[in-house]
Amino acid sequence: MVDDFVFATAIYDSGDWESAPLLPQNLIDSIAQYTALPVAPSGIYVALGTEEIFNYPFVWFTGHLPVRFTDQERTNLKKFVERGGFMVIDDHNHDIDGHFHKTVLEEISRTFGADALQPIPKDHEIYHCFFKFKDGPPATQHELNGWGDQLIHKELFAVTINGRIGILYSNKDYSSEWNFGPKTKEFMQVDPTKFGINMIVYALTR
Amino acid sequence: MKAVERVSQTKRSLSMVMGSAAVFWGGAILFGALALAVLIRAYIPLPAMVGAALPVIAILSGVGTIAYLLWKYRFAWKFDSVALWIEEKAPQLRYALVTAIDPRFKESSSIFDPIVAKVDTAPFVKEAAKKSTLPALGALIAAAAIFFFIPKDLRQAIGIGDLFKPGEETAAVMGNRLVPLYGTLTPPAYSKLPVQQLEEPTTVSSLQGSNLVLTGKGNPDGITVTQEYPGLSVEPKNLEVVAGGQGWMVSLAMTDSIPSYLRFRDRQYTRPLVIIDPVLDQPPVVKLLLPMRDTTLRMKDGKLPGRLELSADLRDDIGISRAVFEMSIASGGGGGGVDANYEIRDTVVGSRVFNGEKTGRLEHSLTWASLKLDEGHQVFVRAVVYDNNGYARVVGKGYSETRTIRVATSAEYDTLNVNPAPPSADTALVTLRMLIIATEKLDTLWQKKQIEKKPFQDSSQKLGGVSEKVRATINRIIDEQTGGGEIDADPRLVLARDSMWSASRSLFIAETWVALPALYAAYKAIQDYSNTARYYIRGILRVEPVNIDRVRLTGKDSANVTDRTARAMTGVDRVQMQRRYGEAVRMLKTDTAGAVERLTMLQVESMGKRYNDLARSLGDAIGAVNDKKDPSQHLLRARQFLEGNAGVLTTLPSWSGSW
Repeated sequence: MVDDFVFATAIYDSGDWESAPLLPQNLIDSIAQYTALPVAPSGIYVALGTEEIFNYPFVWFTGHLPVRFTDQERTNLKKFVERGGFMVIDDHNHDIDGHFHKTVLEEISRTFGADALQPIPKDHEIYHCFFKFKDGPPATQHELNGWGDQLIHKELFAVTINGRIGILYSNKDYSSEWNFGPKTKEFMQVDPTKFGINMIVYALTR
Repeated sequence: MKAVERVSQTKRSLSMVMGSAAVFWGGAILFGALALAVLIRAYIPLPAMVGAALPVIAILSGVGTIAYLLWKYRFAWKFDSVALWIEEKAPQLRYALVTAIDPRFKESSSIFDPIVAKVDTAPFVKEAAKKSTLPALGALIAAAAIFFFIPKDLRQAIGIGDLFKPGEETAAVMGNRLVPLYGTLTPPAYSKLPVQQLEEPTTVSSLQGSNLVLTGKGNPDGITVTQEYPGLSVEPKNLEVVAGGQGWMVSLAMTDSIPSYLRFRDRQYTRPLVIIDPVLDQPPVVKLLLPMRDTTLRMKDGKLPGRLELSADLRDDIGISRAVFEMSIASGGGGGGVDANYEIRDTVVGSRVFNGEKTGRLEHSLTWASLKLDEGHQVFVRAVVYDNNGYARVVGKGYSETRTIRVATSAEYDTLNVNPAPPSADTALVTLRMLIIATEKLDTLWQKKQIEKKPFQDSSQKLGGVSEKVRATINRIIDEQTGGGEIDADPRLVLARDSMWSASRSLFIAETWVALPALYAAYKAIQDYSNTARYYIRGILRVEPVNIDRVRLTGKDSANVTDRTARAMTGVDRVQMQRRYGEAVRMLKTDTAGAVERLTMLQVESMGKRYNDLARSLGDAIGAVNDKKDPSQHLLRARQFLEGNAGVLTTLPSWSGSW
């Protein structure tokens, strides 16, 4: 029996982990719409510092405020990735001068090593494992409108273990871009959540 | 064989036969009495001493019987008596035997020996055995069979050890061992709540993590206790029933966060369900009072003068364990990535241990200099409070919102002030306070007749204009709060807006004394709202499920509803509950216990689904039935909840024809 895919959002001790409350249902809606993956209708919030995190292959992680992992959270994150978990860490500030970005990078360096986080090329599998994104990661409204750090980030970063992405790091603020009720997509010319499908399909099939 | 030898031989055989008969009869009486004692004990409640004495009486009966029969058959052990018994059985001896064994006729015994030798005593002994021993043996076998036919657990229940148990009433073992039921409820140690003794519990409502021990009388064999979760796809759990307490015992650690009930079975017997209602320890709530809002400080001569005052208001439903202010100090060095000039220092100040109080205040004061801040630095501060809850994953810890205090850079002096705007409600408060002061002043002048009517009216009308602006601000706040009408407006804001309307009208017609109470009411309402809006309760967010079937177009199409089709007023679960509610109510007249059980299951299910009104109504109805009162009112309320309120269609139903 195949368990349904459950969209998990990480709870961590510091910062505002709950800052994108509509994103889970939006991506769950997209999974249901575009794929045949068995998917649970509700997402779940799971604490990074607990063993429960290991039950979920895909975990969303976001926030605005400075991030400080507890020792347990750091240990669990390393274990999670080494065991084949896939975590998207998304900078909700879309600001490389922001506290979230700086503190998360520091935590990733501390957990996986200073050079662990590397940019991923535009022809990476994650950009064509379901939908095709020939220009790499799709830009967000926040980038195009010049908010945050006023940059359009051309690439995403990743911690890769055994040739597979374990942590996908983004400054593009998909947490803002996708944080709306699923029904709103009916009025959009282009569904911006499609790249989220690629993330999940990559996490579940690679 | 000489006469003496013959008598001796017969005496040996006869004594064995009669002794066996005595022992067999004694055994038969013993087993029979024991069987009787077991049955009496099983079916009839008795005082402890009487119940415990039954087996002893049975044993004494057996021993007494043996003793009596040995006394009755005492002739078999006496030489002379056996000789007489032989003479009685063989009259043809004509007393030759008794004469032959008489010491006085010792010399002439050889005369009688041939006469005695002609008589064989073995048939007499056999006959005696047939008459005495065989019936006794039969009675023994029958009594033993009856005794061993009785179930083992019942036989064990009348151990002789019971005799030494002091005065407790013993239950009828074969009766319903589920009644009476006693319990001991031990709340988790951290809560410091007292241990409760329960008698015939129907609902056990206690803090998550409590330990419940239920005991009944009788042995545990054959008793089952299952924990069931109605309305949820959680498998029932079988709880282990062991010997202990006054008989049987079952323990339950109330670690679940959802309600359930315990179902008891003892062969054909049952008892009313016992509802297990865990009360969740809520996370503590903390309100950061100081610093009041985010701010920017400027350095003077390379230093930051003054102090940072920290204050937080703490609350918890059970008790606060400790609280602390967490601070992160970030250097604002700029530059992206992991540049070395960007650092964060974490520190903790003002740590305080509490002794389980429900409310508390955390305060701390430190100089800015002690934080060693420089231009561009930012201080993030929040209060964190812990309770002792050891059963939750992410609760047990409450956070305040985070305030940010920034030290401005020197180049920033001539630039735009980057202080964030205060919340709208605070802005309205400032203006409203000024309006109240102005109105009070004008009113005093008018009351003391220190102002002419015309300037008074003009001033009052001007204040009316300000009042209207405040009202417009409150309307804007309501828009912000409701998301443009998506949710209901906070009643305090509505009160403030309505009060401001009254105040404006009064000021426009120059009735300052009428306007003032309305202004006070508006001020108080908006102040309340402003204060509570700062509460920041961290917790699990409400997760809206996605209707996967709808998205994949695989579910049933509910869009083509015609006006002839009854619309489902409520969710599927509630419709199912309605059906089961109807069945339970119909059963009330014919099978009250069954109906109460069904209503109890519904009550637990409604507790799990947070249908609190329904759970309360069902609980009241069950209580009324148990107390032999009329449950109609409570049942009516429950049905109203299940069926929803009557609705009115404001528009015509949609056209239902084919496209």
